[in-house]
Amino acid sequence: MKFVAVTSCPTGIAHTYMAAEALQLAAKEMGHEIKVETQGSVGAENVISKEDLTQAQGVIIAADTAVDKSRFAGMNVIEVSVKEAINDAQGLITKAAHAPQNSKNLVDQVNQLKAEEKDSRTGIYKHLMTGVSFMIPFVVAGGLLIAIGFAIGGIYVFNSPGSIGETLFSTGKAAFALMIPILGAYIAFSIADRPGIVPGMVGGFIAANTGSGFIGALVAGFAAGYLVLAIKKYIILPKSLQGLMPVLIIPLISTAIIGLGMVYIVGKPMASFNIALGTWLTSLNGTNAAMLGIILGLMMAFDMGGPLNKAAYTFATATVVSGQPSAVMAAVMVAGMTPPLGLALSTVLTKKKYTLAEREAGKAAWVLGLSFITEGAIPFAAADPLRVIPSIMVGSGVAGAISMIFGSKITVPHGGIWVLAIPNVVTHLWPYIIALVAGTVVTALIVSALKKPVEQ
Amino acid sequence: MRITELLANESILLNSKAQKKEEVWEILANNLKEIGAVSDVAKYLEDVAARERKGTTGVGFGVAIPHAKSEAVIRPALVMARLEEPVDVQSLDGSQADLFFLIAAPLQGEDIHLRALSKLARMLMHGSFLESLRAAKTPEEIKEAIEVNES
Repeated sequence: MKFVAVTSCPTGIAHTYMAAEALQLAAKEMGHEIKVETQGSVGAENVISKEDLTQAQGVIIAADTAVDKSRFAGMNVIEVSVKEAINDAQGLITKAAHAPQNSKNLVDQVNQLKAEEKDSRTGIYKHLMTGVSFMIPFVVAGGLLIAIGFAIGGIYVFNSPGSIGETLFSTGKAAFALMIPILGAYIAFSIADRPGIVPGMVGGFIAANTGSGFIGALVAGFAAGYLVLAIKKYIILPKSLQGLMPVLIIPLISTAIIGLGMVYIVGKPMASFNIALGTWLTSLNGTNAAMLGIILGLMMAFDMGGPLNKAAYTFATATVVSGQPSAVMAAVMVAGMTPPLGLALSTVLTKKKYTLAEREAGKAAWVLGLSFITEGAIPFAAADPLRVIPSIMVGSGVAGAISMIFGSKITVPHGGIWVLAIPNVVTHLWPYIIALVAGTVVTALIVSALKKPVEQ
Repeated sequence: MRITELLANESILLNSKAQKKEEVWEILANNLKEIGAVSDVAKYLEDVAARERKGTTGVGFGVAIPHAKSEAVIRPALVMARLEEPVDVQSLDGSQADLFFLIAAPLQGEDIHLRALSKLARMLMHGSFLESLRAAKTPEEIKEAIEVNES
């Protein structure tokens, strides 16, 4: 018969492994097979797989710590203290062997298969959420500090280095600079534990610097995580060199591969794409105003700080440098405000579709959106890109189009709602506010309808 | 990393005449201090006792593995004592212990050391290994026994 077991003790240095060894010795002697997962201070090793679970007749948990039993639902579980396994492993296995077997009928099997399918889905979802939950505080702290910096020092705060306003602004920028690498790092961490952090973080950093933004970091995080798992599995060193794996081999190889990949496979095409994009946008100048508003809106919302967003924003700032009121800049700004605002509204409208952390991030997203800090939407987009990104794109497209149609113009490249109060900064103010509200509501309605309730 | 790299020759005390487990701990902890693995014997012993209160480390078969992750530990190390007369360690199987391994682990333990210690823990479950520890006449023979079983 085959069994699976988990051993774990408070310090995780000795008893965990003694119990594991005792169970393995006893099983061997009794002619059974057993796989023992040790949850010690070096993390979980010899982890029980899905196949093990389907083959196992019973589960032995020998632990003095809290062991997650959810994956053993429906199986015969014997729970004892870790010392019992050390002292009477044979007795435990006998007990497990004689426990009444659950008869598995067809319905159960089908249900189990469904559950497994769902598990693998929640796997990727879990990795995303881990990355996002670590990123949220960076977005919130960074965004609010940038907004406070603007509030203290005005919209050209970055021109007075050393002032309190500029320092807060720069501190916020620093948090923003870290947020993309953190996203990559903790997606990889969720997949591959601690060794995932280095390649994930470096990959995310390169994504931020080579213009692929948070979407590049998502790619880097997943690639780094699975790459580390593959290295662990396929690179087998002689025993005497195994100590080198965690400190040298894994970090070196995984980071090198991710770096090369992010630069040559993701970064290079991205750079030429950016150039092409800029040329194309310039050629659009003077075409149908509403169409240009929609295109700029879609670009602003697509990747929030990524290449499309940057291209649209750079294109727009070029139109205000001379101090002339610019309709393009106005459209770009309003389109950059609606994603966080729409998502913030959605977290209020449909609470059940957001995790607690996301609802908290939603509160900050109000301020970030009003301040034209589009990045406030990134945590939501990273967690559920396929539903969130299209929604915010539509909302931003609507906002951009309305702004262009009414010919609202703005004379400054930043500032969000706070500059609207200043006389003559924005022309056609009321249509502009309508564009903002309409974009926000459209975003919120679509994303609220598309998102699924949070899986517990 | 091999277990024997954590266990210095001068940290293998054969023929100890200690009468109580606390006495063994103290002798071994002082040895850790001498080889520079522990900075503060009193603090370290306090942490060992605190770990012991969570549950006995007398694992049966005449073996005790008192241990602690402690801020008083400078580097991970292992010391061993073999007693002439076994002492009570509240083992679950009721046996008295004559083989003591005291483990010093720093708070921020590195995996390679912890892995070495976990290998030792596994080896202690093998009767033949314990027999060779009890039969060894010199520290070198103890280390030999460990190395034979480790591979």
